Amino acid sequence: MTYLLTGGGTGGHVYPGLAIADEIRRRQPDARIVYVGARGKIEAQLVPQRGYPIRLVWARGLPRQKRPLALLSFLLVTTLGVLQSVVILLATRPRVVVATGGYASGPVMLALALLRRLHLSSARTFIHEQNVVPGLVNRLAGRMADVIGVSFSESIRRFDASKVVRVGYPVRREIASVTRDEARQALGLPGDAQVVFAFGGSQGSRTINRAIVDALPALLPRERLYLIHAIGLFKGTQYHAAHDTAARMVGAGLRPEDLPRYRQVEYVYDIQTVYAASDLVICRAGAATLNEVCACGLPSIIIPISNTPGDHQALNAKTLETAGAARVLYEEAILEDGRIVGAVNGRRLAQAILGLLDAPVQLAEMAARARTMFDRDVLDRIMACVDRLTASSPGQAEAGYAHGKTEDDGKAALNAIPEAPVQPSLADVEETAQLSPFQMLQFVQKHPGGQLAQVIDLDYLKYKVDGYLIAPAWQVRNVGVKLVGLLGYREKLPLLLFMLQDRTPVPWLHRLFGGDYQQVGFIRRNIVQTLIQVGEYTPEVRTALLAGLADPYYEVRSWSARAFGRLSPLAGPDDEVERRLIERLHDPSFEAVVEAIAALGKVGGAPTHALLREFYAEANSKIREAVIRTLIDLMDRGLIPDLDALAVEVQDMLVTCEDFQPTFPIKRALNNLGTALKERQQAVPCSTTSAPISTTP
Amino acid sequence: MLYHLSTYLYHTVAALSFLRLFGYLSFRAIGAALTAFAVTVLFGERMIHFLYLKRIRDVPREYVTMSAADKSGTPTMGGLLIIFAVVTSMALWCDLLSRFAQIVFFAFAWFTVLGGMDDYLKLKHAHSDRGLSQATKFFCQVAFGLILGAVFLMPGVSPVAPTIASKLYLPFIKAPILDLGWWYLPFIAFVVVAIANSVNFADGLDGLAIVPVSFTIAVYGVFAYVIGNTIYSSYLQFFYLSGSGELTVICAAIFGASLGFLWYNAYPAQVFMGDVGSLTLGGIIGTLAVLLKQEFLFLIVGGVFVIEAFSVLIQEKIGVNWLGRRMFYRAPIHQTFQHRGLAETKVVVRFWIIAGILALIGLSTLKIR
Repeated sequence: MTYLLTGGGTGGHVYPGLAIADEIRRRQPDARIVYVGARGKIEAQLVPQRGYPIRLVWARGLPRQKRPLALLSFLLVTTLGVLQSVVILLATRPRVVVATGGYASGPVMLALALLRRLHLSSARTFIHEQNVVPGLVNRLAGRMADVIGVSFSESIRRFDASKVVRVGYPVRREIASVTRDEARQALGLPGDAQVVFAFGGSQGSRTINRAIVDALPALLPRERLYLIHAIGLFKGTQYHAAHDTAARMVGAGLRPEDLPRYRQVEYVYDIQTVYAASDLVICRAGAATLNEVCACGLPSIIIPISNTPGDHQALNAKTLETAGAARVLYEEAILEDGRIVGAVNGRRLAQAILGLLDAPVQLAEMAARARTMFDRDVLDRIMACVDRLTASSPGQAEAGYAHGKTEDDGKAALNAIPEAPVQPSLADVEETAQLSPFQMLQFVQKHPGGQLAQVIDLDYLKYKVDGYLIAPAWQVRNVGVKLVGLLGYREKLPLLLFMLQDRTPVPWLHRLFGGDYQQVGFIRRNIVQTLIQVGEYTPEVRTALLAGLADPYYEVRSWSARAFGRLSPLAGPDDEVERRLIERLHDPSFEAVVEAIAALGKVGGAPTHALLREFYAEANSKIREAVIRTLIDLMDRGLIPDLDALAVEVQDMLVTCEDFQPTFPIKRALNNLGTALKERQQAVPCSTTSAPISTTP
Repeated sequence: MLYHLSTYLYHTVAALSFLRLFGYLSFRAIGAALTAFAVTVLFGERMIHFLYLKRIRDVPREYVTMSAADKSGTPTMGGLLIIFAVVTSMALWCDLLSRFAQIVFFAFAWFTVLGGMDDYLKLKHAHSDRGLSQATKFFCQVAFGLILGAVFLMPGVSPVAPTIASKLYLPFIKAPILDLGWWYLPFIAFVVVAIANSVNFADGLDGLAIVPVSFTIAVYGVFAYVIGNTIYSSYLQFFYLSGSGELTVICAAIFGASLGFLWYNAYPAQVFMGDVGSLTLGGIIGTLAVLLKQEFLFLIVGGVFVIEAFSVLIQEKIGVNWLGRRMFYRAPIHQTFQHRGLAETKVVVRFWIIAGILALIGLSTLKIR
């Protein structure tokens, strides 16, 4: 019997496929298994290593940007891939096609749909969806599939309910097949060693690699600690896993050959041995990784990727942390080499590792919890689904497909397959994870002060804010800035100060219309507002605000002037600040002039008074108004010694004004009535005040 | 109806031959203006009281504790008063068989329903962002533009001769610069949508929209008279549109109703026109511009509206949404002046002056071409 497996593009789609392949081979050693994958992707390496023949076809993901050229090449590649798949399907004539999603399986499923329509293939299909939200290929393939296995009950409603079975996430049985002693012997590790295994998936993770290198100096002095670090295969122009890690090692003055207990590899091909030898794992929060870690019963420190769709990595990680099986370290937005990046502080990571290794009881407890999180029957369930597809003879299968067995028959047969127990829904853990940045801002604004901690995990919220601050869209960064102010998240102030002074320009088209820097005007203005809100006046804040006074955007200049008026009086006289505020008296924007005058009232010295005289007949009445208020401030601060002269002088003040505030006497009277009414209503709580005051005619 | 009655009477009863007066456009225009003005002023007080009782008003969050400088609480949807007066006056003074008049009646109906729905939903939800969605409003305006364009370009149905219907005229230039053919259709839709919305933006301060509207309408009324008159149009080297003089009567009615509305809307306003007023007036001006083939004239005589609309577009679309900064202190532009310390009354009167000057410049294009 021939089984055709397909799926890939990323490891997350390949591993479940391999787990199913292993299980088929275990049960039917004589079955023929053919794997179809995308050319040049991870499956091209992984599948042959496991001893399965692989046929490669052209495949490409749908382009994210809507560029005509990318779309055209996508169409060409896909057409080519479909033709290749048609040839493979006709040549191998599989009984069952198992697809695990990812764009590699796209051409195969399209080809199969075509052949079935032409009655040239009688293959039955099983597709497996690993994520809560199905990918594009599986969403389309779900329509033609005979049975669909999903990992989460949340995914069921996204498919035809009569065909879906909740099976769980398949993990190869081999993963947990090695004993600790065998593994340590194979790897040449002492029996009493404390082994830490750090890896960021097949492609590797910049955050984990950098954090591990940063943590090395703190970890290495530990006698029994062995560290196995898989840095990943990613080789892009922006980031090259091996080069980047090597450069960081050099930067830290570390040479791998001097570190006998630190083993760095690109990729671990027999990961089960390394798992078995390990005491602690440091990893990302992809479904494949976490299921393997739980299958091996390993405690873990999880560093989720921020801003993934639906924030599923953070949710996965939190699920394990809530169950007591793992610790979560969130990425933070930090400043590195003049760029803001998501990262985990090496010292924090080292502390977390050493803290857990020093608490063996806790570690054992976490391991036990992890083991209970793993569902052992997933592969049995999947094989039950596959067996049902092969149970009917080829002729029957074709008849069943072509002439349509009744739906009820199909569903009844599916009902015989035991479903996976319902795991606690991930969405329930953090419903706030689904909020967009703007909804998150509203959510925080709705829950002032102390209330917030009751409705949301503050660590998680801070992690979200960090994610916003490194987002590519300025609107999202802007939300991050506002949230820093609302939460009083002081740790992020240095980052905001950097953003305020960041002079990375926007593309020329934006500049043509009046844009300036990547941290756009609103972001810079809101940073200054946040500084006022947080109310911390350090030398760094002072420097950044001085830069703000010279900002090209007028709102930043005026808010910076206001910030000095609010923050610097406590710090005592400051000639530099005063000089720069005086420069603002001739700002092209009247708003900045008004704010500079007001700020000088708070921080200006004795010469301020003389400087204000030129504004006594200023055309803009708002400036004149500010001058008068500042004169009051100066008088209060004792900086105008000759009050009689001032009394004479203000007679030169131009008081005609183009502005006035209307007062509608009836509304004032109504206001008085309303205020009195409210006081009475509140004073007598037992009275029936069911009618809200605003609807009283 | 007076027009039809008098025509019938002076044809049949010799003693009533003085009723021939009703055949003259100038007489009917003045009559229409005075009627519309009288209707607004006479019914205004009652209408405002009615709107107030029906709670059709700008409602602040807390009615009894609103600020003494606040304008909220003022009845809105006063545009209904204008529409009522104009339609009454038109029904009395217009030749109801004129295709021009029929099209304008249709435009009134369409935009009144659209603007009325918008106002109604805002009031119902007590929130200025909860009216009709942007997309719905836009779609309905475009739909009207396309219907208008189709009627306008279809020979036989159109009040305009097919030889000039699809030609594009510019102010200051005698000959048409282009014959767009059926491509004129999307252009018509664009003109109507743009003009309707620009008037909508300008309606922000007491009297700010209504006076420039009346100036613009007056200029279009003069153009309608000239274009519809064989002698004047050939003297001023215009194309001649048979029957467009009927639009003069309509413009006069709107002018009169505008003055009547200003009676109550002058600072401090007793009533606001609401979207039902601003969208309808804008839609009618757009319709007139299309019918008279003077679309580009609006850029001059409706300059105040054009500036208001552009300030909003630049501020919102380029500044706030794309570049992440303000392009003006505030938008629409009249708010920038207020922000800089000009009182509302001052801003409004200055905008009137500008609108008046622009109207004169627009009129001068009659001769300078």
